[in-house]
Amino acid sequence: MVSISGLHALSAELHAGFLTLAIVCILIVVAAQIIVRMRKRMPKSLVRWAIRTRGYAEITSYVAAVAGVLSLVLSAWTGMYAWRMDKLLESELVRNKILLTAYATILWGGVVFIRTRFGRGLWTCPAMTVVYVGSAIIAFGMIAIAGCLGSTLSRGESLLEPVYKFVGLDFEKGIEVDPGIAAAIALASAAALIGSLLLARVRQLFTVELGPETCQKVFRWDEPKILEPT
Amino acid sequence: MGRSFLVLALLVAIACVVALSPEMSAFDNGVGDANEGYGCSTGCHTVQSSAVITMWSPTTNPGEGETVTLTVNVTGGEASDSPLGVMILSALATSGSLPSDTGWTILSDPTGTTTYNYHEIPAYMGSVSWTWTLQAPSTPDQYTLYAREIHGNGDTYSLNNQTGLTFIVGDIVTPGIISVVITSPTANSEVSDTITVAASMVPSADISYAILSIDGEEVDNKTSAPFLWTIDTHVYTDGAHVLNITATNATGAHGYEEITITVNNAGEETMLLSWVWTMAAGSILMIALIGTSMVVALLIRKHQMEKKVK
Repeated sequence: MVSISGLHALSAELHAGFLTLAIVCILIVVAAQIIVRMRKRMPKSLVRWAIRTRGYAEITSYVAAVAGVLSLVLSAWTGMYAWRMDKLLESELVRNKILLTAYATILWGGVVFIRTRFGRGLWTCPAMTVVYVGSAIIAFGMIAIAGCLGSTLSRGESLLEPVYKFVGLDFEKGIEVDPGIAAAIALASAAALIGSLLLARVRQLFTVELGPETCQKVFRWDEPKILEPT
Repeated sequence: MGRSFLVLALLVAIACVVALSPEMSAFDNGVGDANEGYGCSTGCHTVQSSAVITMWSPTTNPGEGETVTLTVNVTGGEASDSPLGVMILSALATSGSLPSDTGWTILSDPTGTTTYNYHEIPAYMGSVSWTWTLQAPSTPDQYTLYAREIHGNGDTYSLNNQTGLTFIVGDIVTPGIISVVITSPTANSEVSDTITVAASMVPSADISYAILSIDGEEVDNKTSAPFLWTIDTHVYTDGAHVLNITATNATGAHGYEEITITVNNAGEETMLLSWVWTMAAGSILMIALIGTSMVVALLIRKHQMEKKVK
């Protein structure tokens, strides 16, 4: 019989692989979009490569992000049972890992939501592209740290330790905020969210469609789509 | 042309996944022979193994600087045809746990050629018996060495020999006196939840009874080794408590040791409360961050398009 720890290791490999694939493809699309946008100053072969590659990379990043979020949830679920329940929250390292995984899941969920809601047309709007790519980079950073904390737990060392030392981070200590400050952050965040949703309703932003036909004349950013074979 | 780019992109993506995945996930291969302290240096291994670990030495009363051998036996447990390691330690604490920290010198480890306190094999088949040769400290005193085995095989198992093996180095045994050492918890330590109280006795033969008392009240009375007690600290108020173990043997010799520990269950609960709040507030912050950023991005787009139209 497969142990729950084995399943956790499997799902951890899955989410790490999918999300790495997603971020790599997103960064390829970013590079390709910049090359295409600056096509007059770029070698023609590079521009041709960028135009052909970005369509494949874009859809791959979407599929990988969806699969990554699903396997991240599976990984969190199996992780809960891979440890003895009474020991789960004893280690500050484990608590930090849970915290970062939860935050990363929300951010990756946001990335998938943006792509699902706006389609590949989001790449024609630079501001939305910044939000999409920025969220993906932060989410990947969090999941990479959470993965390295897993490595510290199982092997006593990880790839990012020199980085922690350089930056001055100590994940052996719990990431904890005083309940009073946490409540204030929660209230302020909720107020900001509700405020922006109300503003979006007033300014009729819920129905906005992003795409070449709505954005390109202003921003002159192409849509990364798969070209028909010539 | 397009197909070749697709293949190239796929290969780059696969290479990135292969390069990054091992460090982002759990895998157990052992760390090899080395000098390893107690704690997470070889991986945290927090799940208690069902293995049996025993320690034995033919010379528990060596002279100062005399050579002694220490044999550690491990049988059973979860590992099967997978790595298993054993370390000998001078304390079950995260600092000062190497035998050299209390004056021991490892002359040879189970390999016979190196002098590490941690030895490991890639494939454990249900039983090992490993011997270290050590030079005793140069100061007469009572020293305890402990053994800890760790292995994986689908989980992060470990087992400590809590009692350890106590060596009386030099001539410090006093007739009529039992030397009692409380090996866990350590004196003046802060404890919470459930703790294990462990003690070793020298001489350890024919102990008639060993009484554990907390704040002067008898908790339990044991008549044979191992002298281990599991205590739920929630029974006691937060603050300092005196833990006492008194022993008597068949010859009428007595001995006791007393340490002070601090129970802090409120601290643990406060810490968990802070963590739950941090989790909730951080999650709401992340949702707000995404939602607000999207609205701001759409507002920027709308503003720029309106400007263009004008």
